[in-house]
Amino acid sequence: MLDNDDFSMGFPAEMNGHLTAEQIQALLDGQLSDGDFADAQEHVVFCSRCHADLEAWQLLYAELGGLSELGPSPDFAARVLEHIPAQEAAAPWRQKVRAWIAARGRSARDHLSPERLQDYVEGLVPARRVAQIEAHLSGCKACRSDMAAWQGLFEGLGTLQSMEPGEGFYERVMAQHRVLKLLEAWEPAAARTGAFARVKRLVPRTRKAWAVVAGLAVPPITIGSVLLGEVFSNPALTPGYLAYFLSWKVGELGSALGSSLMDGAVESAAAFQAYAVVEFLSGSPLIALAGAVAFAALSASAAWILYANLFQTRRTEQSYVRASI
Amino acid sequence: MDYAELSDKELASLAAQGRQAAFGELLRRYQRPIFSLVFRMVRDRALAEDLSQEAFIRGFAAIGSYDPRYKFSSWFFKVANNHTIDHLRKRKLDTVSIHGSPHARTAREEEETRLVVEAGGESPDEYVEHKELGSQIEQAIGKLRPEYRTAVLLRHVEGYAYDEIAAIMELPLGTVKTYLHRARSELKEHLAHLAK
Repeated sequence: MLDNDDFSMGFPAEMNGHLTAEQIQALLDGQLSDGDFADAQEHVVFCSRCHADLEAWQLLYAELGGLSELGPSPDFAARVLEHIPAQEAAAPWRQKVRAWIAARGRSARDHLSPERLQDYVEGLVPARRVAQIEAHLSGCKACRSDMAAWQGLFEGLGTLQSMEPGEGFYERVMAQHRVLKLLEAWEPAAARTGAFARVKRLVPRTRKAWAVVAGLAVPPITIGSVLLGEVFSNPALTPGYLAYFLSWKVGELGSALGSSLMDGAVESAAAFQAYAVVEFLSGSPLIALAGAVAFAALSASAAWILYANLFQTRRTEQSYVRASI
Repeated sequence: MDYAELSDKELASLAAQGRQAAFGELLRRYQRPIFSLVFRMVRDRALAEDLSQEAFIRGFAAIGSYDPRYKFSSWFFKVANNHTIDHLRKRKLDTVSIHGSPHARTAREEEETRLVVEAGGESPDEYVEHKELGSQIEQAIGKLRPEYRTAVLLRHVEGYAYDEIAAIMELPLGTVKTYLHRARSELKEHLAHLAK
């Protein structure tokens, strides 16, 4: 006889020793091992309750097995296929609508975002939304508190004042501006040599730089002024005498320099060689003509090289500049 | 001619013709707002004066390129803001770590490259600066990144509209809105302890 303790199926028997519903279904499904199957059959023979249960389950199995397979109408597949593209196209739109409705529902329930609250405090929310926000605020303590914090911040920001630059700021800016304007007046002539750009770079831009320039300029100016003062304090020395003396000295210096240069040129080895060449050429007019032609050709080549380097290059550079602007 | 009664655009036009008095009047009108913006950006009075001075010189030199269809103040703030942001970017590249070189391979190298910051008394200039920028809200503004700081100052100190700020900062309107929202959220966080 099958004893509950001996019943060693994969799942235990009921506490009162009868087969469970799962055990009976496993028996009917043929899911029990040979040993368990024999034990279960033996138990059912001697246990009227389990026998009755087994018969009830057999009846249900029979009923389920008698169900016929139901098929769709013949044009079912065609109708489904016909709707597939339309459904696919509609899906995103429907999803969007659902998402929008969900968002609307959610925004009505959730708290106001910091951005929305900031815009509300700043008065940037459209009129049609103001009532919605105010309705939410009237019923939401957290958002009211948040809005009070935003209002506090905006009030704090509103207290910030413009600040005054230090004394002399106006004068400094205008002085620098005037200096640069003066330099710009030279620009057309000086720009050809790049001198303007170089001078412009030297103009101090900061207060510290101006202080350094002033510091460097003050000692020589002071010393020079003192010396000039001393010189002109002598009653025998008038500006007219000084001018006459200087012009006389400059003239003397110029004539001395001119005569020494002339002497040097006339007595130099190069001058003697040049004289010998001229003497030789004057003896043979054909060679003199050939020399003149060669000299003219060399001069023309030199002029062309200078032109190409000085003017054509500049035009090319300017076209690069224009292209890069 | 009473220059004080002329509009910014008229003054700019006269300045473009080389009238010194027009430059002077424009400087008188904008020295405070420009200096305020630059000072709050760099938080150093002497540097702010130098940068403002350079900004004015730049603006005056380029006054011929000002298009009178736009607001003069926006154009001028753009010049000053760009100049200040350039300086801040350059300064960021020049900064050194007080914790030692990031390239140090040993503790000794790190120690040797560490910057020693000496404690010292506050100079009169520093005292004035701390007094001016020492309020909680000024300190909180100082913690914002430069772009946020510009947006907040232009909006709340100078009272510019969002689209004008976008023109000054050369940014899309949406970006300016985002900057302002984020900047104010950061300020709110920095100042949260005051609300408690």
